[in-house]
Amino acid sequence: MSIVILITLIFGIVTGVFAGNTIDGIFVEKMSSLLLWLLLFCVGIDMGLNKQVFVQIKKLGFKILLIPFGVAVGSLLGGSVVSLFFPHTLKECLAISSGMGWYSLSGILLTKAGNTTGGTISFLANVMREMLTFISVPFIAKHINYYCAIAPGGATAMDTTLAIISRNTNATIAVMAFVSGVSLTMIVPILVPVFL
Amino acid sequence: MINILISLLLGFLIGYKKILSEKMILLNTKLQTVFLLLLIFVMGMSIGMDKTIFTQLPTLGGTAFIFAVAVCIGSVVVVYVISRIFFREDKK
Repeated sequence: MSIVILITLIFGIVTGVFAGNTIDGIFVEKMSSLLLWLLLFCVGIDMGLNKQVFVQIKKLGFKILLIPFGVAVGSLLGGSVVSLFFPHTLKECLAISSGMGWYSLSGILLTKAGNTTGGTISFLANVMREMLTFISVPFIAKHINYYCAIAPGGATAMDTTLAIISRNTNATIAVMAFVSGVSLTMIVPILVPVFL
Repeated sequence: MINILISLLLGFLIGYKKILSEKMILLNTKLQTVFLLLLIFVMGMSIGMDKTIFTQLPTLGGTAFIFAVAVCIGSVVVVYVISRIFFREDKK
């Protein structure tokens, strides 16, 4: 999927570069908003359909939420460290880190707030986060522990990176990863605007 | 912001109320892929159309990579600490 995404992204950029003068920028903006809403509507349907999550949460108790909490705190800490070495404000770094791998949303939120550069960094950083997840999860599960294998995926742990997590860990961890991804997915639209 | 929550909530309610047939659910999964790719394409277009951004891409790509690595390491470290404190009884 990441390869398809990368190709699509490059294809989009190339189209923008060569056909940019003939296309209305406002139309492109409106299209991206519309597509985001449609996508979120579809994602919402998937969330509502997955009722077994509530059963699993009951079984594991509130402790399960410590994982997404840790992922969120860790991501923000990581982002704060970057602000020490780069000419970006702490707030901007926190907004970028708050994406939790949900590149389509985090990028657009920053861009819409007027920070096009931050939006691009956020988009690229979160796409890269997903790719790094695919590469690092087998290593983390083997050499650190299963819980940590949930971490890099962030919000994507509920869909695109869930398969790689479950394959390298066990069913319980896979459920926890799903819950973590859902929790982080719900947090991202709230957390990113906090730092804008 | 409010539109995002409304879209999610509307979808959630439809999913939760079991209004959709199996066929529609399958269609929903396929639509997600289509919408996602279209969105990425359109976002790519706005990057490509933005002359300033496009010229900065080699620099932004590097910064983005640093961010990606930093958030991955940060989240793994914090989850590791949490797992050692709260999930000690269950091995791996």
